[in-house]
Amino acid sequence: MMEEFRKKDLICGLAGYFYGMNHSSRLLQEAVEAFSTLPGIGRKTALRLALHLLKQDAEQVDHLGDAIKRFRRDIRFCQTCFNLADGPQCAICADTHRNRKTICVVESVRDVMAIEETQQYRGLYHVLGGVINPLDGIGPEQLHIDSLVGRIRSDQPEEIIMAISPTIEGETTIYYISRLMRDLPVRISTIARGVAFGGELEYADEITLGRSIMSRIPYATNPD
Amino acid sequence: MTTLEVHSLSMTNFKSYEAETYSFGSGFQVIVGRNGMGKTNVLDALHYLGLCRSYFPLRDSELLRHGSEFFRLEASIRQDGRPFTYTAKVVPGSRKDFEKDKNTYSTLAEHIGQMPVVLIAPNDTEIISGFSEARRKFMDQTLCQVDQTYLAHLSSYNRLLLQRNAYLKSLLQGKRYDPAVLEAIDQQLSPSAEYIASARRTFVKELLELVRVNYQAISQAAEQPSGIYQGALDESNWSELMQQNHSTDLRMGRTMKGLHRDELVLTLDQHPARRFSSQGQLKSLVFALKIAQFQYTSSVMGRIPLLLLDDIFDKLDQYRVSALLTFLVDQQVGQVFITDTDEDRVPEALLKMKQAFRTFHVHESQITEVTTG
Ligand SMILES: [Zn+2]
Repeated sequence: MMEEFRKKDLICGLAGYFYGMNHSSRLLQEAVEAFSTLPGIGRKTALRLALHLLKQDAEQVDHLGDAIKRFRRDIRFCQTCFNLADGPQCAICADTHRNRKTICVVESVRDVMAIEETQQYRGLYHVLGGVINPLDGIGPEQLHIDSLVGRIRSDQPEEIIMAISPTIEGETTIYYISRLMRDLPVRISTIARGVAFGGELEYADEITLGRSIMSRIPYATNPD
Repeated sequence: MTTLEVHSLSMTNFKSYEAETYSFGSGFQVIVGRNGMGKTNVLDALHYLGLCRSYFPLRDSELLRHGSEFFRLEASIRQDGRPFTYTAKVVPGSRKDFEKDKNTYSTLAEHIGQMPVVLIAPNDTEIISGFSEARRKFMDQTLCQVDQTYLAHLSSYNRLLLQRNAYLKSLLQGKRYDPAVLEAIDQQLSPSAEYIASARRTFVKELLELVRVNYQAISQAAEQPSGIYQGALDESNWSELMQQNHSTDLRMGRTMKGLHRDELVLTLDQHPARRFSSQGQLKSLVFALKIAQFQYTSSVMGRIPLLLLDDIFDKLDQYRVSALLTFLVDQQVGQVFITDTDEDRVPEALLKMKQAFRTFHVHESQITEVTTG
């Protein structure tokens, strides 16, 4: 037991030395600082990652660096649905086997990934890029809402599924969009509230999410 | 009617308390000591455990003991014949967890109402003599504790109103006006506003009945207390109200009419109590009002809340203290915590009334039990 404690003390002491500002190499220090700008990576983990790269072939590390560089430089947003894409169109929009009569409206690309994981949905998507939130300065014009309306006019899908978190701001957004489509010949539904109220879509487990999309419910704006 | 009894309370880094655990008994718990010794903090700890916040307008960071980073409160209670443990773990600015028997609630709202408390303090006179905000707060505090739906609607209403005002303000700053945004916000505000207004209206009616009876018993005076709820939705529904004020809202850049302006007018013999009561009338009316809050909470929840009386006997003679305590005992009270600067008057009165009580002496945040009654 005592032995264990001493070992820990020693390691902590050394770690303090390393991830303080006094690295023996400026290159190492730069790598550590670069890694620690990533979310969830503290200086300790950053140091471990940097030292790990040293154990790898130079070629492997080049590949990693290139992948990061190319990803950032070449990634595009799909001109149709605003999902991530390599060219003007994403793989989902380009897939001719998908059901083009249904568009699922989501807040972010992460929601697309969460829904794709469920393998329950075969239609298309439309990524809004957020929800209407005046407190954060986000109005409808900051979101991809105009393009959604344009898409509905030109492609004439039969159904729009609003897979938006049921928060106050999410509800405002759902209502706003439904209001715009009041006179368009399209059915609007929202996902069933198996997703916890106020819960983010991303955190819903796959089964709940899959079931939510299958058991979606029709959405009605006020009839006035 | 079931009762709620705190058997022990632990406070860690809470206000003046570093790490203390105290045991309590049934009936009256009398906490005596000079001012500034930490008596009120014990009551506020119980209030915090019940309602997830201080009774006083203090932020969580202001409840921390000097130099600490977190505080923790825990009460072992017996409720409906069963033991429970409620725990609050708070790191101001980053974490605030409440637990029931070591299980963390997913939202604080789930906890509110589990351990009902009513606290009465000298600055409650604000409810009568202060601005209308104090009276709305009084109504909201009471209703949030007894009705989870009210709590949900009130927090939606507040959030939506913030969004509405932020949108109106952005228009003043030159943003293009899109009526559908206001419509989207208002169609959500409408059901919340209607629920809140109707709950407040019903509550005020029941409350005033209780206040009338209490006031007569406490003051033995001839004047009649009464009151009325004056709300934005008395004559129109939410969408009508918003339409009427549409152009004003756009011009001013905020929501001019709504529940956030509602008023509870309290009167004594038809005169507004706010302006025309004497100090004695004011004190009696506040006590009648707060006891009515306690009675209302008991009857709606079917569960007697903890009653916390902070320093309310200040400047009263032995006769008045006995009279108030007799009145209290005639109500259906469960466990009652009383703080007082005078060491003897409350225990003496309770002894004469043959009530079960325990006395604790507080000195520099150290509590010692004095006698067992
Ligand atoms: Zn696409």
